[in-house]
Amino acid sequence: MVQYLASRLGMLVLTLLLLTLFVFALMHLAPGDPAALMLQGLGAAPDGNMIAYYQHKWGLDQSFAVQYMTWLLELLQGNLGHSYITNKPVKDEIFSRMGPTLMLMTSSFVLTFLVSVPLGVLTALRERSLLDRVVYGGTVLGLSIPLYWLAIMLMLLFGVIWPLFPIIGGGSLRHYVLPVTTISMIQSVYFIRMIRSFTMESKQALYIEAAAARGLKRRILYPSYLFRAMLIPFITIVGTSFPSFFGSSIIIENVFSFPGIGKYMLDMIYSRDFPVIQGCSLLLASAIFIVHFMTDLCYYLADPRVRLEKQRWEN
Amino acid sequence: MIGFLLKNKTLSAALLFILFLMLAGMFAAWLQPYDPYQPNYDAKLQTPGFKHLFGTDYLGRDILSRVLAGISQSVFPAFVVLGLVMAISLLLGTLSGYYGRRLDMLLMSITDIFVAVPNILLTIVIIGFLGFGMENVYAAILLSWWAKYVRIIRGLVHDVKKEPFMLSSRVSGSFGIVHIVRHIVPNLIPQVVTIAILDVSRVILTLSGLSFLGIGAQPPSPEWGVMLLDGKNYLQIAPWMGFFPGLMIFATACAFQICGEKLRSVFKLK
Repeated sequence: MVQYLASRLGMLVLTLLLLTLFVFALMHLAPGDPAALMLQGLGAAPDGNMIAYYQHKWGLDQSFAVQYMTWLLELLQGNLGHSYITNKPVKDEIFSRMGPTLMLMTSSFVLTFLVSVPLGVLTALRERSLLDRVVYGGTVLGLSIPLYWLAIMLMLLFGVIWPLFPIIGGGSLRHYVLPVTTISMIQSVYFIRMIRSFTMESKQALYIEAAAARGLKRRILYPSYLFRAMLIPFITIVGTSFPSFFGSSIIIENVFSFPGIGKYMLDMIYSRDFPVIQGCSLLLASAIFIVHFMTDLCYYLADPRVRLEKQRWEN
Repeated sequence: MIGFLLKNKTLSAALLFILFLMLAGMFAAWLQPYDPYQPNYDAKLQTPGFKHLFGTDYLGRDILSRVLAGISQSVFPAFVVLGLVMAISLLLGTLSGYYGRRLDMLLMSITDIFVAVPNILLTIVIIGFLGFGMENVYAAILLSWWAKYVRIIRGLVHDVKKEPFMLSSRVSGSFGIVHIVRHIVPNLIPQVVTIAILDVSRVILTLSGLSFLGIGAQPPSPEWGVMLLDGKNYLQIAPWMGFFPGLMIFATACAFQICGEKLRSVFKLK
């Protein structure tokens, strides 16, 4: 266990380090000088002295390696730099917007879970039934409907034609209804598909057949034979779903002008506020890597047979 | 073939739709009833009717003309992007799967990182630093999609390598690149094509989605995502502005999805 943990942790640190390098290099590749861009953005004519002053202030006049090292050291102290625009610490800006996004993602995750687990398992157990065919048709449509269009149509239906819910902004509980519904509708399609396919796989196992032949009642057979075996693939889809939930919430936050991280990030992309983009992407990517790390640990706990390197290299 | 198509009504409907879409995209310039770029301030925000089948937008541009002009910007690039992704990943995937060892380890560690980062985050970060515009969008999509395909193709190569005919061709003295091109790649084609067609809809959704977020194609362009963004701002007074471009994205993606699923069940893939 300790050895496994150590190797996983080492891998985690290495990936995070590579990630910082990647993000930092991207920032250097960015066209345009941030100092000049900011001065232009403020409406000032970019004159050489001011540019040089800001370049020096932000350390842009040093070599790449020096800049990277100073930046990394700052990062290790939890300092993500200051926004070019508001001049406040990026960390504070991000944390003040973290709450709504997390709330949005958690509630849509819970709703997705509640919808897709019963549907996925039921359709797999009753293959080719009416329910199965209806759900299959629904998932084909769901896989091809654009999330943003669905959001707009829901806005139109329940915000304009029949004004039940507010369509813009955040804050009250009612603001969450439409975004959460949209995200869950799209995500449950993927969930149902995956749950259905791995339930189908697990139910073909010989020991299930043997147990059924022994005359085990369904209420014992399913929970303790079938569902126990499905735990591993289930952990996988839960653990790897975080990025896609985040991806949808970026889009949804922008459609509904929801005051979360996704909207903030995109706004800052429009205004080319590099420290913020950097901070957000680093934070999110590390969150994702840490979730993956925890998923790996869950495998270990759920199934002692898991041979990790094999798992990693074979897929 | 014809009989098969007649039996599968959904599939033939989807194929017909794709065919018409392609033709309409190629001959858009002749089919458009109005100029898709030319504002006409006398016909602002007109409801769909005989004169303007899909209505007009806030500058009086005919939505139908713009939707037609948008085919070449929303659908065709998806093929180019996917083609490039396929070419890159076919090369790297077969090399990695065939030669294995160090190269495999290296490539797989790199893909590990790319697979772990969500596509949309990577895309947004890349565009955020490199600036808006379709070229950067294509680059970003390439960067965020190649890894997944390399892994899939590598897995497929491993499966093909276990087949007996591989051993026999090896015994007959075929090796290296010739071996890959003559014996491995042809056996991958059905699977790879299926995956590619299944993913056409996802690429279309992503491309239009990025334009919808305002970081892909830029306004005067009749790209469907851009039109949808305009439509969102006029939702309360002119819902048709967003409805039709979105419906087109939906229908196109759906048609490709249906074809992909059918292919998948024919080739019995997972």
